[in-house]
Amino acid sequence: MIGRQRQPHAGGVTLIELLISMTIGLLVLAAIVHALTLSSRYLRRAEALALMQEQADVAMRYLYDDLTLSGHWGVAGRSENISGGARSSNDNPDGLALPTRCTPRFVTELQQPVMAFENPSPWGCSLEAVAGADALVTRYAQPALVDPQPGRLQVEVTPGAGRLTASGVPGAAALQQRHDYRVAGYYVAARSNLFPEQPVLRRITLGAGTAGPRFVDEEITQGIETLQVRIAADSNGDGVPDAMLDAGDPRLQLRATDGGHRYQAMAVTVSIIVRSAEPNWPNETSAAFELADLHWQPPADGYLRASASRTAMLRNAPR
Amino acid sequence: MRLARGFTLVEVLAALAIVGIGLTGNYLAFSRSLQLQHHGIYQSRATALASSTAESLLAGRTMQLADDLACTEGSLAACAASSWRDARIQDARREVAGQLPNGAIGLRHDTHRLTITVSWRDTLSLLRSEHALEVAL
Repeated sequence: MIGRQRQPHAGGVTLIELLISMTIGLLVLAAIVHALTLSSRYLRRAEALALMQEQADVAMRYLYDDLTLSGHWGVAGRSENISGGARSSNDNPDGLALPTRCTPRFVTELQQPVMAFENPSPWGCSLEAVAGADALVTRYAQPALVDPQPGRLQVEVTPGAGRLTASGVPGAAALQQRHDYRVAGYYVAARSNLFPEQPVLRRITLGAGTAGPRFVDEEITQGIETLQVRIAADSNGDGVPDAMLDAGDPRLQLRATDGGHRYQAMAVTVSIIVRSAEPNWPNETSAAFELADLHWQPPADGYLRASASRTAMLRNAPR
Repeated sequence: MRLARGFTLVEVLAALAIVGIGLTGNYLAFSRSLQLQHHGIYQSRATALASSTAESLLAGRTMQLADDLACTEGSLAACAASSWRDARIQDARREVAGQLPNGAIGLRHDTHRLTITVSWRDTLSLLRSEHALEVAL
C-alpha cells in the first residue's frame, strides 16, 4: 500500500491574514459608505437651500415690483388729485360697484398707497392668515395706458387730476388717459393648497369679471413662513426718512384730513423667513431671527430656515 | 510542483501606499467640494445681505454726508440722517451675525462710493471669507 503522499505547500492565506485583510476591507468600505452618505446629505441640503433661495427671490420680486410702483397715478401726480378714493367720512364717495368680499376701504384708500398691518383683518376679506406675520397692501395705477374695459376698476387721469371708474365708459376730458387700477394685498397663510404641509405667501388683488371687478386671492410662493414689514417714514417733511415704523404703527394711519401730523412713507423694508419643504435636518439648530418687531427662536423641528430682506424706495412718494 | 511565491513586505507596503494616496486624493477632493458648497451658500447669503444693506442705507440718501458729521443746531436734517444710518447699520450687523457664522459687516464711503464688506468664518474650512459690494452714490 502506498502511504498518503503529502501535498506540496499551497501558497494560500492563513486565517489571521484573511481576517486582517477583511477588516481592512471593511474599514475602507465603511469609510466610502460614510463619505457617500455624507455627500448625499449635503447634496440634499444644498438642493433644499437653493430651492429656498429661489422661493425667497420669487416672493421678493413680487413684493418689490408692487412696492416700487405704489403711489403711481400717471399724469395725475399725487393721490390727493384722484377722486373716488376714500374720505374720512365716506369709504366709497363715488358709489363704485365694488365686490363685497373685502371692505370698500381696502380698494379705495388711495391716500395711503402703501400700508402695513399686523395681520390682514383690517381689510375685512376673511383671509386665513398665520398669526404673527404682517400684511402689506400697495395701490397704484399700472403704468401701461389701456382702453376702457367694463368690469375692471380703472383710473382716468388728466394732468393734475383723475378719478376711479369701473364703468368702462370714457369720461369727457379731452386729455384723458386711462390706467388699470391695481390694489395688491400680501399676507402669509399657514397651509398651501398645493403643498398642505408648507406655509405660503398669498396675494389678493382686484381683477376684472363680467359682473364687475372681483377679488382674486392666489398663492405666490410656498415656504414663506413669515412676512415682516417696516416703513421708513419722513416725519418733518424734508423728504428724508427719519423714523423706522413697524407694521400697524398708528402714526402711519393718520389721514391728511384728520389734521394730525402725518408720517410720509418713503421706503419700505420687507423681510421674510423661508422654510425648507421637508423636516429632514433634525440636528440643525437655527439662530434666532430678529426681523422688524419679530424676535423669534425657531423650534428644533428639523426644518431649515433662512431670512431675506429688501428695501424698496417709494419712487412716487412726495419729496 | 513549483512553490507558489507570495508578495514581499515591500510589495505589500508599496501597494498600500498607492491605495492610500488614491484614497487621500478622493478624500481631499470630497472635503474640498463640501467646503466649496458651504462657501457658495454663505457667499450667496453675504451677497444678499450686502445688497439689502445698501438698499436700506440708500433709502435714507444719507451717505453723501461725511462720516463725522456733527449734530449741530443748524443741521437737524443731517443729524436725523446720521442717526438713521447708524440704526440701519445696527440692523445690518444683527442680521449678518444671525445669518453667517462669525458674520461681520464693514462700511466705507467717500463722496462718490459706498463699499459694504460682509465677512464670515466658514464652519468647515475655518477660513475667513468676505464679499465686498461697491455702489456709486
